[in-house]
Amino acid sequence: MRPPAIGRLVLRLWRLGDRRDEIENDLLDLFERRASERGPAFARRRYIGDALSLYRFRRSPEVIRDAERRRGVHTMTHDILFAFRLFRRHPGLYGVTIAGLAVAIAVSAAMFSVVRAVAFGGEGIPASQDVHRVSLMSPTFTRVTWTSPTLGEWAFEDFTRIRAATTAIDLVGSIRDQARYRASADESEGVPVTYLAVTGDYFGVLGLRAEAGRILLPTDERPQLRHAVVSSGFWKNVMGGDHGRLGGTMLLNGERFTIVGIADRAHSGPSSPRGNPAFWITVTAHQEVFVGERSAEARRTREQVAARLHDPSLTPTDRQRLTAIGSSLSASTAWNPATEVFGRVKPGLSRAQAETEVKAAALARAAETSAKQAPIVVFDPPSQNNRQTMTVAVVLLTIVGLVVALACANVTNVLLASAAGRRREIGTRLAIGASRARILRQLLTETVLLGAAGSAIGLLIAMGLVRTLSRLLTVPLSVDVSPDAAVYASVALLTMVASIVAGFAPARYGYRGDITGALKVDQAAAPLRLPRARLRSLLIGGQAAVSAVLLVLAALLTRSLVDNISMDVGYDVEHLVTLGVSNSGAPVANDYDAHWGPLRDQVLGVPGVTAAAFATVAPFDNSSAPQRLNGIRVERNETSPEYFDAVGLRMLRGRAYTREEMQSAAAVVVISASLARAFWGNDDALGDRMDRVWGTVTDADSARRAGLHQKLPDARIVGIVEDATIGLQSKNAPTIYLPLAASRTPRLVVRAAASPAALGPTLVDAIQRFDPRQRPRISMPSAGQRRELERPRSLTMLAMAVGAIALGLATIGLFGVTAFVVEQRTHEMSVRRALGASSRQLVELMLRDNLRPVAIGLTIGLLMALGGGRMIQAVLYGTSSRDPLALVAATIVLLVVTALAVLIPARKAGRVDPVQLLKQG
Amino acid sequence: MKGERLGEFEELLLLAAQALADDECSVVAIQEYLERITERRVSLGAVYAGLDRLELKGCVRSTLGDITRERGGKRKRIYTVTTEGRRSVRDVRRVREAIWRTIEGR
Repeated sequence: MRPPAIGRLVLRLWRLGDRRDEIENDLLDLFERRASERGPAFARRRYIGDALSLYRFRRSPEVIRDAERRRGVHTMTHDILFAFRLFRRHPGLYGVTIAGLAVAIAVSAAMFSVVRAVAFGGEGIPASQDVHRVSLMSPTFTRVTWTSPTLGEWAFEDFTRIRAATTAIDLVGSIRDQARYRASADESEGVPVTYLAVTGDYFGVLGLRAEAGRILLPTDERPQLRHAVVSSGFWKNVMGGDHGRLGGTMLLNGERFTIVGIADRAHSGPSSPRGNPAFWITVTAHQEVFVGERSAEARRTREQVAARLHDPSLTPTDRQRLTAIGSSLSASTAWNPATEVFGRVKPGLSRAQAETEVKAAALARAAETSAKQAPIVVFDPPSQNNRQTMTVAVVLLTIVGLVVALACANVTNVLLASAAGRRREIGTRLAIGASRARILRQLLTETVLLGAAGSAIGLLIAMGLVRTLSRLLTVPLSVDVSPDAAVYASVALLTMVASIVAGFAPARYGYRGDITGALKVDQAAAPLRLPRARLRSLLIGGQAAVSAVLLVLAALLTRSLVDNISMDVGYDVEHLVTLGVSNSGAPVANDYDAHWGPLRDQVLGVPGVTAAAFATVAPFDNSSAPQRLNGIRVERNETSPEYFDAVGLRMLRGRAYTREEMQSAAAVVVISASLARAFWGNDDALGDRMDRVWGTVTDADSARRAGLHQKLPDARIVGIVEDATIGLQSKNAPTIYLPLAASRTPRLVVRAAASPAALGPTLVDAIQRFDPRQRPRISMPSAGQRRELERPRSLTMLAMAVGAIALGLATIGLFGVTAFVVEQRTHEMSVRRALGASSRQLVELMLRDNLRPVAIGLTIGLLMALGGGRMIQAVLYGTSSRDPLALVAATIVLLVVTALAVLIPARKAGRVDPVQLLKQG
Repeated sequence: MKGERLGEFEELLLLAAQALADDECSVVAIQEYLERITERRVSLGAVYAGLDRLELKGCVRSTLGDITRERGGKRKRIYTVTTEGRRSVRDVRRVREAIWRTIEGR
């Protein structure tokens, strides 16, 4: 008797999966029993009822999910343990892979932190489109005292007046200065720091924040208060990050200040190429301290003058001069420093309105003080990020990316090789019932674990590395480079994603498994087809390419460094001393005969001095102010006529300007040979006019960009001088030499017969005897040159380290994969050997097969390096990015290393003993 | 797993599985036993569903038994109660007995 058709039909409706047979049998069983016990009608009825009831057996989604979840956790643990056991079985292979990954991550995270802090950190000005840096160009900057006026900064008095007169824009000012910071009163030495003295509303208007404590407020501007806000970097690097210091005191130039807050590292104000401040104090406090210092100093100077006046050997001219100086000192110490001004346009008003108002106020002020010319007011964006820093940052970040990519390619290679070796294992597992998805999950777990291990170790290393790296890159102490959670999180995430991607191909390969191979007893019958040879070759080639790029970069930087170290500046820099002298508020017009000339004579009288001259730009003094004329970077130097002799520059044609021409402000210039070549080519520039160089700059904006001073329109070239290098950025730069204008504050350039260092104090003494108000700042151009070399030096060392790491990673990968491939092809090799191939032929075969992708990769890498070399031109300081020596050196190193990496394992192929192997099979 | 409540039917299934001898504990056997004991209709679907839930909860374990003489040599699925299952049933019993004692004490 058969069960009712309806029942059977109903049964068909339900999804019973693999239990269907069982259920049908059970139902049939019951049907037969019931039919024999209680009759066919009953049996049929119950059969249909039961069939319908099996609707409940339909598995519900929650039940399935629940079950799988529980199973999943259990199997995940199992996967992880299995992976660990696997790693332990081949510690060398996996250890090296993890190490490579860790190093790559460490370097990347550390570099990322530093670059982020230096290049992109610090500003955090909310609604920064309303904030502007307001520059005031006044051709006659007579009222600024005790610092040289820098482009765009205002005189403080002008600032206070104009600020009071404007309502459309909130103007705030900051004054930059240096002080010696000491942690406690009993220390004698202090750390020199740069700080900003700001108006009370500076933090508020710009929207800056404090990460601890508070910002400076207008209430802090009350007299006698000494409150300071410290920068996050300074606090971490110099004060040890101790929260207890908040509210405590610090000593600045011996004056006690209270720390009221620590600035937020991401909201600390407009960045400036002159560096970030270590702390901020109020203008009032600054003035009180400064004026106090100055009046103490004035008293000391008066005493010096008085002492000098008692000298019986004084000439009447000297006596007259010193008496004049003495009387000028008794005047109250004026305080009018250069102020950098920012402003936030008030809400609801436009930038144009603010500009108009400020310009009007500036004009009014100029009229008030009978300034000779109308000042120019310009609104700029608040930050002045150094383009060179950005280039370096981008280059470094690209390198970071490349190194991580390289490490991940390595991981892929290793996993691919190992997946090939595990095909039998996987085949076995598949044969006894594992699902392919399960295998895939296992393989991916292994990859993720590798990535996680590498990440964790790498990030730990990175924490220690950041400090070293920032010292290496001469990052200033006021910058906070400590990595924050964002850096770590992004690097870790990147690595995990990359390692999953890296593990995908090997996982997909391995997951296909080899069941038949697993069931065969002898290994010799294993298939000869190798795992995904194309992918492997691609990876090897890619690694070779990346290594090539990095190595070429390192080689170029090394070459540039070597060039720079041995560069010939065109004159003898070892015997020069430069001094910064101030005109100390002395009257400006026609000052050479009255002031500068006699000063120079005094200096010449010092034994050991062979020449002395004045110039606005001194060698290696960070005082250069280049401009771009017609797209060419041109240096500009205003000098006294003796400058060329003092520095040791030969006049190639024509002559230098004379003292008479200087005093009459004649329109004559001397140009360097490189300038003549650039603008005149092979024509003779002597006697020609300067129109060719000035170009057609007419509007105020370009006038500002071209410099504070005017361009003498009819300037005539009277001499062509040989090229000179006064800074790493301006090697043999085209230079315009102008006669020193009466209003400039020049530097004194002195040539010494013997050691210039010994001459320093004597010179200072001589200058002070002449004018006791002077506080000359000595610098040695030779030391400046060495300092300038520090950055390229550190960059080169860094690049070499990174290049070495990249090459190491690639070599390890190459070595491991080749060794593995050789092992896999041992059977093939032994067959060939048995057929008569020599060892050499076998090795050549292996070499050919494995070196081909390497060669292709190297070629591509070199081409990429050639193309991309232009990007790093800025940090090459004049070395060509196609320097043949560097390229050849890099190529040779790469070829040798990769050849060795392939050769050593390949030699094993030649040593196979065919008899032994064939015996096994 | 532990701590999950047993439904009334599930409790009955567990008890039945324990009551039946080890090698006879198939789905059909459990269904027939329960029908006899409760004197009510017990549908096969309910038994299948209940046993499946119990297996997911970890209270029973099912294995495909040896090839049998009957049923054309096909294998039967045999259920055994796990320690977990035994514990769950004991817990329920303990609770019921405690309440019954209270009721009878009054």
